[in-house]
Amino acid sequence: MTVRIGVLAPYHVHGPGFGPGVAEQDGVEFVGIADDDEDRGRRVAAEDDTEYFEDRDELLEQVDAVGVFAAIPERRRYIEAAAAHGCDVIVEKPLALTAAEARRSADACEEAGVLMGMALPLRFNEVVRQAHRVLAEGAIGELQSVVGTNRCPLPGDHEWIDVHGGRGTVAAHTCHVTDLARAITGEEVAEVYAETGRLFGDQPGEDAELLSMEMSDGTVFTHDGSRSRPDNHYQGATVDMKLVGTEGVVDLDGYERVVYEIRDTEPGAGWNTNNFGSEHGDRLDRDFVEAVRERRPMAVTGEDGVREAAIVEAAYESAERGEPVAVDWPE
Amino acid sequence: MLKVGLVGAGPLARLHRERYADVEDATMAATAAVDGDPLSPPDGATAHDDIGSLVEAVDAVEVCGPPATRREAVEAAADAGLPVLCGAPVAETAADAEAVARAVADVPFLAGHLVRFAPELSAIAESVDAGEPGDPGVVRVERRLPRTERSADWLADDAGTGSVLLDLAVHDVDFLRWVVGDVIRAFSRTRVADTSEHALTLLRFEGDAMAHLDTHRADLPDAPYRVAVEYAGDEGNIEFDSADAAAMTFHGIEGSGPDPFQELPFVDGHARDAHDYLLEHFRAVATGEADPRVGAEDAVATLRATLAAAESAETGRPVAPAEVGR
Repeated sequence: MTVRIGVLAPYHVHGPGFGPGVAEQDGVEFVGIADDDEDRGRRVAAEDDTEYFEDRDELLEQVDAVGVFAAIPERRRYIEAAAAHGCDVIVEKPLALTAAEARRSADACEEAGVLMGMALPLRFNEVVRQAHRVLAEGAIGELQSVVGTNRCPLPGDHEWIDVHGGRGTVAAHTCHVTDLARAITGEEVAEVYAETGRLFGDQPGEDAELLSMEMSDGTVFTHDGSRSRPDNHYQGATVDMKLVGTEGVVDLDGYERVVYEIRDTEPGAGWNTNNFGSEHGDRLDRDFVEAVRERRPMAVTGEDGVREAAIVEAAYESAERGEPVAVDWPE
Repeated sequence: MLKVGLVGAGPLARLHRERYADVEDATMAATAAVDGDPLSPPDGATAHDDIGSLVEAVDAVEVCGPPATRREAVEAAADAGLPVLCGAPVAETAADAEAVARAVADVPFLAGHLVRFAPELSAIAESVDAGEPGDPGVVRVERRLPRTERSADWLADDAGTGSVLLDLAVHDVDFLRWVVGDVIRAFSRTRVADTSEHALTLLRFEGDAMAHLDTHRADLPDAPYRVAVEYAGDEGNIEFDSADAAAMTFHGIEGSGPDPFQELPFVDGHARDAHDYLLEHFRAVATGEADPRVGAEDAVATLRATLAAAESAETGRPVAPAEVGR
């Protein structure tokens, strides 16, 4: 069967290009884009060479599934609209800034009998999957602690800030690595202590983030999601994790498989890194389409989205109160 | 020629006994220990049963016994008016460290915080000092050492929460205080097993900067040592990773080449490292030719910040250095 997909509110930077990327697969048709912000919707539709739908319901009538990339506070509205039309949904992270809000979105999908997934491609990263196997085989003994980072340069424009509802890097850069730690260990984050600040730029929201967490089995887990990378850094963003066990250590770098290119001339003067061999974005797209076609859960579910929204909420609360906060979410 | 007396008989004392041979205008003249037997002295030096007789025989004293014994030795040397080099941490408790600081108020005093003499970390500090990375944002320090090379015998039986922090992380706390500033609070979690001691510590500084401190003691023969620093400021990053800085590497079939736990041999017997620079600087401090690069005030503040991390690991709460010992 042909899977027909649409995109709602392509505001987050991952929105533009999502539809054409997914539609590279056989048996997928990218029908179009709907957006309450008509200018944005029309602009991205032109870029993505697809149709802009003034009437969102009209698009939702024609598609099996949608990707939602609205600003975080707007996400639930679009998710509920999609669910009401029986469309499956894949959502940019985080699902919401509070666990309660995330739960309402997840419940809307569950009650409507539609699938919900989170657009977290690193679950499909080959290096991460190998680390998962190494841990499962007991090669490092009993897991003691996890050290993660997901750092990046300062964002270039203010749209990128608004998409996070005025929040900064805790909202933007916590989910990738906490999702990986949850997936690799099979445990939940139980407690969060956060140090946050605005140390690198003058945009709204925090741009420095260090989290110290404890997982439900006692594993200690820290995360650095700071926007601490200079624009000229040879590596750009990082996704790396260290797994410390009683019998060994695994260091993994999700972006290590690169070819370096150093140029003297524009465009692209300086260090450039071309990643190879992981294709995690393509694998996420395939998982999304297969789940819709086969009516099975996506790799990262709405339930994961609820748990990770709860971590984000607890981190903000900890930074506010200056003490560790238990991570809690409504069932 | 500065005659130095060495108090202590552990691994650090044994190492420095050898290293004084390479220090110009200084000689190891005498040994003693607060508890137990003194180290056997090099040729021409004397061993003493007590510190009281050691201070009679020397121009300056290096104290590197167990931290709990350092205060007594420092006080004896300072009472005799002698310049003192004291291993870091200078004590196990904030109260003892403050007593050390009071004791040495009138004599030249150098705290043995080795990181201030490590060439790679000094290079970072110089760039920071020149303002190259801008104001500090997030600084990450990772350090791994073999368990078999605990720097101190006195910690060998202590697999408790504090040891990886007080024995190892204390040096990185000192480095961070050097390149960032004063610590206002610490939050630490530790995992201790028979084969691995790991501490993950967050520090917050005056002026709002923060640090992530990853301190690990484990025997990993393929990669026994690791020091990595990433200093992210608002204008740029400075990065160092010992794994990338190996200027000479060896690959051989099994059984050939150097012991992986040993550094590759250099022509003069060992690579000049922080220990050599520390002892040379002490010689200059003792003779009044140099001001101490790190003194008693820094030693107390570094210990307090480290104890705050240890107390946080015990209580599960963030702890301010000023709260320690209350």
